[in-house]
Amino acid sequence: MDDPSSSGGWRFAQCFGDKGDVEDITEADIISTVEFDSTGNYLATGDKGGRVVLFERNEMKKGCEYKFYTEFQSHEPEFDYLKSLEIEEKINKIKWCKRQNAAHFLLSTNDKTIKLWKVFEKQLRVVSESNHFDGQRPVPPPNQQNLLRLPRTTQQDNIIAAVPRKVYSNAHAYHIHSISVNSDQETYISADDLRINLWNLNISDQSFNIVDIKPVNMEELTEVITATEFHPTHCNLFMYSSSKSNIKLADMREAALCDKSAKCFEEEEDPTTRSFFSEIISSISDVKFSHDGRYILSRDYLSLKIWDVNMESRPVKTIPIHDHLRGKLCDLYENDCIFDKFECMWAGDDKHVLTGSYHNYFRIFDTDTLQDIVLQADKSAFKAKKIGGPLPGGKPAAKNAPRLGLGQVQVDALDFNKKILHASWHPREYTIAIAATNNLFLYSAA
Amino acid sequence: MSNLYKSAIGARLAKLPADIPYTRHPGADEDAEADEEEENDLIGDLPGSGLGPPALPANNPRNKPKRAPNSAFSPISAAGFFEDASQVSLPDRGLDCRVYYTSPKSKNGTIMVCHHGAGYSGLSFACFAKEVTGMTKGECGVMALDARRHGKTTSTDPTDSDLSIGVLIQDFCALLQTIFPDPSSSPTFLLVGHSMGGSVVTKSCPILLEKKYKIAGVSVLDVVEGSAIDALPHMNSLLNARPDGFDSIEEAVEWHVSTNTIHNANSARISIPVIFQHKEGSNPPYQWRTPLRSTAPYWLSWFQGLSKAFLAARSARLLVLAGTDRLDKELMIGQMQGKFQMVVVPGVGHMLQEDDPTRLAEILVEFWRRNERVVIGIKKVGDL
Repeated sequence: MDDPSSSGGWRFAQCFGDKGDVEDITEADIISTVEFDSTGNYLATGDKGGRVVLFERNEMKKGCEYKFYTEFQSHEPEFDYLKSLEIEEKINKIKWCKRQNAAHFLLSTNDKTIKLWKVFEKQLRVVSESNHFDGQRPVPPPNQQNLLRLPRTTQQDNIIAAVPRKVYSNAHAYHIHSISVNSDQETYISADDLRINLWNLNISDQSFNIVDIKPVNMEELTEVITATEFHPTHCNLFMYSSSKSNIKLADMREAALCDKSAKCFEEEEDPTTRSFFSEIISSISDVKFSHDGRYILSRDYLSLKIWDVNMESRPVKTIPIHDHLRGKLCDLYENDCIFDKFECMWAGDDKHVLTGSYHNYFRIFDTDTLQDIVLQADKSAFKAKKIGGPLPGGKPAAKNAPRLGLGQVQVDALDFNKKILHASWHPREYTIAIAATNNLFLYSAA
Repeated sequence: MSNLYKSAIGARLAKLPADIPYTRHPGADEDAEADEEEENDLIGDLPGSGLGPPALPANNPRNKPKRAPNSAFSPISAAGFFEDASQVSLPDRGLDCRVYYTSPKSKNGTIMVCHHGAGYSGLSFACFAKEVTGMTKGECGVMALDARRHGKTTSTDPTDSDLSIGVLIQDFCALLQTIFPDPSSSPTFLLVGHSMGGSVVTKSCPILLEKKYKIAGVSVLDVVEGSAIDALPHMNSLLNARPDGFDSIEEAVEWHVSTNTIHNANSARISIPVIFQHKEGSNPPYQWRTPLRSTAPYWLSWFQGLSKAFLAARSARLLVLAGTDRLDKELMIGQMQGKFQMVVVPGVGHMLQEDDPTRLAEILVEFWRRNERVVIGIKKVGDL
């Protein structure tokens, strides 16, 4: 599409959440992770208050529509008495397991504990007849042996129950930020800042440590692990990214400890562009394998990089996201925004990639042409839906709103408190779920 | 990013060479030039008395050319910071005490009663008082006094020079009893003392409690008995470095700011003018109201027994330190036993109530809020 103001066929579909003013947000409602399951029919969100909300695709409707399925409290706030530290109940990641029976299984994690939840429909049975009640009115209890009856139950309601099946705790000294289920659906890895552990889903009291980058002297700490993921098809391969802008691909067949990576994807830094902040902004905040497993998508502060798994020396594509922030790095360091961890994701067919930015903007790029579409997850999206027109992010008439993508950017008007950090792409169709603070936006281009 | 990563980056930042020291006031260049000029004049003179190395290089006050006062350091009136200022007469103590007061909204509210340190005045709490009033929306009142022989407090006996701890404590208690004669209807006090004042309020606490006043808490600012007593021998050289006086109030304020005695120029402009008095005929004209050297005989009495008295005070206890000071043995044991709350305020000097009044106000308002709810029958913090 040559017209940069078009929305590329993306339409706002739904919004879940308070939709209220930014000033009144309850901290516990802020969404901290979003994840579609492997079929795309279920969508999970985790929030800062430790709750997991599941949505189900409404098959009755033709278009893209999700309805509320169930909600449960996954994690509670805890206190580490030894270190006198609070353990936040915020859900850092949710990952679904592939469906094996009627129940859903998903892993949810906070800073310290991972839980395997089983979500299933339960039929509630209720006692309808007993020795005190014959179904219609109360009866006196029998006084003869042959009048004793067994109680009868009838079906009443179907409820959706969520039960924690396994709790994997006490394996991480630092805060867990990533989990990834293996393609064998038996093992999974969990990563904190310095270590990655391998678990078996069925065993909750043991895990293997497979990566450890903790320095002997913590004063010399320079690098932390920022994200990790299993390969989508090869059950022995996984990768992890670090704050020192490298991605390491490790093969578990080689050794028990995967400190020595099989491949290391690192682009040589251009010494001319080096600045005080170049190390911080080159830190990779998220890595994802493409669905076919041939490419790796990595997000650092200012750009997206697409790597070919076979080529370690440099990425095949580099996409700048919000280069206009390069001049504001000092201020962004002051307000801590330079440390924001943006997620990135592939489309189901690996032809597009998605990542978020500030002021509720997010961008979708075509991996071949690098054409981008800029959208904004904002309340104005609802109004656009009513009018039936294209989204305001692309509307040329929106003169007051800061615009990206055409070079005319009013950087000072950007609201750095509204950032799209978490999102998820439907594995089979062009539907995306965007977390904007306490609201969940669904867009569809199907 | 994780806090671990942020702190690692922060630690590496901290190890980088410090910024070049920057001069805040526009008069900096003038000063440098003036000093150079007058050093040339003094080629013939031997600096100092010849008995030891001079503490300050060749700044003979008698020969310094008079400079126009730097308006960036002109005095600011305390009128905007306290509700009112009054003189309270204490006839049996022979004192006419200056008291700065902002009353709390309700009669039975709480007042933070602030006692300044040696050589300073109640106005060192001016900025702090304004912050507290703002933060609590007037709910918490602030009272700051000028102690004997300080600030605008005068005594009926001009030869009186006794500043020993006993006298100061009696003065303090007498003042509170005169202003609030009836303990049952008086507001609750939150005693705040800076340096020497810390000692006064800590040791006054049991006396006031005996007289049935309600004490919500005792807060000591930047004084630790062990460290203070250890530092006493070094005071001499510190005092030698002080000029005898200044040509103008602005110069006095500027001196305090440039020697980093007070980091906050704004606060210095309020609190410094009052500790100087204009003495006609003396050179330089503006002399210290309370020359610190004259208080030397009483120093030991101020600090001896402070830690013990602090730990034994029967109310909530708070110790606010500037930078990471070392606690003495008694306080360290007390802190490990959880006997008091300790807060370290980074980035401030000894006059922490002036350098960062906002932060101190936050700390004390939080301290007050946490300890203000007094329900009869429930043991208060500090009750044995």
